[in-house]
Amino acid sequence: MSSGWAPRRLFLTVLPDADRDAVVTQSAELASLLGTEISGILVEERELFLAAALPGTAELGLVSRTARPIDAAALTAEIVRSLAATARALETGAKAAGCAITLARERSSTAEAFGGALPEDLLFFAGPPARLDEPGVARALLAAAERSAGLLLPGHRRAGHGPVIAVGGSTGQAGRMLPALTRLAPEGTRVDMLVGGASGADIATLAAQAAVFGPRLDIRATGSPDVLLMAAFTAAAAQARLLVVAADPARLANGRRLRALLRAAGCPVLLLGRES
Amino acid sequence: MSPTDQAKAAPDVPPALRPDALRRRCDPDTLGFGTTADLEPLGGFLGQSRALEALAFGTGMARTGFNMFALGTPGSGRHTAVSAYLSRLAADQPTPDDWVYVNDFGGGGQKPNALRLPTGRGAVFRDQMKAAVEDLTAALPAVFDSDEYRRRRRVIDEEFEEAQEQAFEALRKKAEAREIAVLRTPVGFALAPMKNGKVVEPDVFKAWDAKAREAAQASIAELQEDLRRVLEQIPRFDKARRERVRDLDREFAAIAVDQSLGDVREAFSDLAEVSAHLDAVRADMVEQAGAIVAAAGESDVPNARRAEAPGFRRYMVNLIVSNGDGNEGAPVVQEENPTLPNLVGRIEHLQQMGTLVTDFMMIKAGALHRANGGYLLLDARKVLTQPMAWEALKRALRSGRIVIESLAEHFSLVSTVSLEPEPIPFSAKVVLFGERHIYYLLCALDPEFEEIFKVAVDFDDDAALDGDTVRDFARLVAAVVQNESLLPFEAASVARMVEYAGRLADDAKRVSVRLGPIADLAREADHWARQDGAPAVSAVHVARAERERIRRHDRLRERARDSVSREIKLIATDGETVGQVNGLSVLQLGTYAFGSPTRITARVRLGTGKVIDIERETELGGPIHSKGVLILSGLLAARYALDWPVSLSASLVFEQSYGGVEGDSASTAELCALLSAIAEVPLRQDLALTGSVNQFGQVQAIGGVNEKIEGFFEVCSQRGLTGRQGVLIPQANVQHLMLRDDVIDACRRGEFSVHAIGHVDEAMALLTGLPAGVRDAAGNFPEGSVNARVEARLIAMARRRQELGLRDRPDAGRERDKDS
Repeated sequence: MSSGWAPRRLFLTVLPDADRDAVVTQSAELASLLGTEISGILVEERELFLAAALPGTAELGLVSRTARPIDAAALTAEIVRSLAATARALETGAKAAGCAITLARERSSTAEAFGGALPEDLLFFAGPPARLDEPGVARALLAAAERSAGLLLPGHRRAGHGPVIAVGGSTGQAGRMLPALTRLAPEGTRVDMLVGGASGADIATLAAQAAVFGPRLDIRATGSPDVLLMAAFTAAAAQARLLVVAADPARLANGRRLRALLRAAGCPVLLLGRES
Repeated sequence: MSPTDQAKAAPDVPPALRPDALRRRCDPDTLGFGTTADLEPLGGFLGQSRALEALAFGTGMARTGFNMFALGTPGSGRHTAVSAYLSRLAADQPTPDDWVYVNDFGGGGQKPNALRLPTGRGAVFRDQMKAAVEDLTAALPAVFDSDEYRRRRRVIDEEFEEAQEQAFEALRKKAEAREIAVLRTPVGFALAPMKNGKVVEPDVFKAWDAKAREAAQASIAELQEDLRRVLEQIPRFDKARRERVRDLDREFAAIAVDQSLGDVREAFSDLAEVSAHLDAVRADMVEQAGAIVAAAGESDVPNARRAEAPGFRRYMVNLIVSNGDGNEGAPVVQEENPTLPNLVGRIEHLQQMGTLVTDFMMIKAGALHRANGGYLLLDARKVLTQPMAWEALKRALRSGRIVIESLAEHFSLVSTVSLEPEPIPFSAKVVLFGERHIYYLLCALDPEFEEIFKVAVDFDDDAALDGDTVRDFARLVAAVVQNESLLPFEAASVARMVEYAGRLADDAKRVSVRLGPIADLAREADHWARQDGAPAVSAVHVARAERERIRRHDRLRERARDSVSREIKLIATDGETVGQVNGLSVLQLGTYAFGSPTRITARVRLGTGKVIDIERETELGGPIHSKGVLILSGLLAARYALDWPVSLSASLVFEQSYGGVEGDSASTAELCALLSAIAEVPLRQDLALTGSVNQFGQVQAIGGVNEKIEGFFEVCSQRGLTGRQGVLIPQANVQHLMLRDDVIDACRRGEFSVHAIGHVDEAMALLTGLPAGVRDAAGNFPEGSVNARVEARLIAMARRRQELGLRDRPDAGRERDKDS
């Protein structure tokens, strides 16, 4: 996290069952705020098509709980239609926000699609949070987050208009996050940062660093053993617009942890890459 | 010869009344005060001892049905007097309890409960409940926002998710072990064979040997069954999660609710009904906590009015009867517009999205609620003319309950869902105000009336004049002066008002106690005194007020006088004429009455004893007038020529009268005209007379004597008083004389006279200048007397009839009359 944190692109990995409105709104806002172009891959998950082509493969409905053969043609049409609608909505949103947008359709796996993100990209996972349960997806996401400038996870549809909440696991990590935070908070938006395991002197030092970015950064130490959870509750209480955390695989561990974080915060969560 | 000289000359001619008999004077010197400022204002009634006793009885009688009906003339001051009396009485009586309506939590909100609270605590209850709800709207979200709640909620959610994920994880591991991929599809899951962690290409799969394909498909089938079981578990997990969340919500909601309701529960713990209601409120708040939090978050009303938002209204308290802090005494309520809703209360509705909606907060109190435990004053006529109001009042008095009824529902005018508020016990004394005829009509027509309004409070219109009455009258004027900040009234002006009150009563021995016109005269006199810049109201101002009042009303009187002076209406005030006399009538126009002379004429001819009342024949005469004419027919037949059949046909008419004629006050005049016509004796036209006559010729009292005398006086004075002009009135009416000053002055100067007559003979003597005549021992009237001439003519007619051979059959006579 350098002082010149400036992602080059907002790189979207769009799945057919993404929450379209949330993805469009959040991507347009973020691209506009950061002044980046939007690039994205509309993922036609290859494995689904393979499964559909196999003889005797059945689909089990979540609610109906009845198995029925997969109709490959219908499945393809449905996925293509859904991705096309999302693409149209994204293009309209980007146009309104004044951002350039490039979208490409690709038949691959979600994990492979993450690989398309460059280190200077801000990766945006535009899929349902439930997909984080899939170990392959979660692993690929965290790996991509570490490589990239950051990873945005979709939040609740009705994200608030409150402050940006950030959490630094250590004083050093918090200090590195400061330049990114000032870019991520729209003009006039407060930034509240919680720092774990910091002394009074550390906070004072951080505050002095933060003063360079203006008076809207509020830095506080927290003694909570679970700094992430504390930050998520703070974000929920303040109806935060964004929760920013360091992409720390050791802390986030797996997809379930990420889902819990998203649920508790009730807003989009941005994982800042270690080298961002 | 003037009437006075004539009376002296003829012993049966009554003398003119002395001027001092024409008006009862009130001597200011006898009043004993300078101005009304020296007097203690009268606080009670004037000359209403009967009504006062009835009122005291009615208010003191604590039994059902002893409500009161105050009878009397409008403007008699009944309202003021009763209100003042009841206000004094009620001030020392206990203040009744407060009443509130609250939501019925068990009944779906359609039957609001009525709660009784000790005086003054209704408002406290309302305010504390509002504060509690306001507090709750803040406390409840805070509780659900607390870390403690969130953590416990998270634990539940995580346990649920964990259980769900564990089930999926187990399935996934099992699938992985068998090289089967679990894939998410747009609608659910799909299973597919894998090789090296990737779904097998269809071509590769086809290349597998049959055994491997069957094994993969068997695994898929088995896993599909496992997946189905996992999916079936999800709703159960979710249901269990929801129940646990609900329990958690209840637990935390109860904390906030108990905290918010704590003060109000403690404050009203002594009232069982209120405590029971608060239990219901608590249960509902706990159950509805989620909705309350949502409503608190969404409501855009400020916190101070948050409690009135739709989600919270059912916890509010509708204070419909509040009697202050308990020191006010019993209420005295006067309902000026006693419509059904204004009496029993109403349920208002709001239009929302094209539908009419309501709730217990829209229940509005009626007069019965406000007067409960005290006194309710109502105008009987208004209650009776308002649809359903009378019946509702009676129902409340009979049942002792106030049931809120809607007129629209009665008539099925609205089909919206409405409320059935719990009836409130009713106990109040009702005082109805009405005219006497309304009271007697109700007695006659409504069998329930006498059961419910047992006490008649009968207000006199006037009071006997004695020293105490005059003094109290002066104090009554002083009360008006004080209440309305009028200038003080000098003793002479009060004396003038006493005389005015006498004139209102049409009685020299009584005074009107109708406060309305008396107070109006005082106000008007004050106005003229202020215009003059006078420090006090003098008799001159009172006289001017009387004069101006007449002036404002007398346009028609002037027109009537004008028509006489221009001889459009023919009234003779001089000379003598056979069969013609000046009768007197009174025209009542609103609050103003004036007298006017009317020419009455009679014509006779041979006939069968029929006196034709032309007024009746043309249906212009009322029944009492017809009765008067029939009486004089009877008198004629029984007094003259007793041994002869009555053989005349006569007609009587009020000349130039084109409206209805009612009353028998002209029957003496009609008789005189008839006798004149029969006897062919002319009657003086400079005299007018009034009075009813009985079958013995006695002249009886009539009404409006003052207006009648003044009416003829005005006609005469317009043409110039001759000294011979005057009016004949019944002897019994002398006591009613309260004539105007100008009439009295003319009488004092000998230019006009008023004669009191007791018998028609006296009238005839005055009108003809001849003695009437009394039968001698032989049964004959004196030669030349009026009666002798009448009898002689009647006998002559009877003889002529015999000569003509007419049978004593009215039909035959009528036929002959027609032919002739």
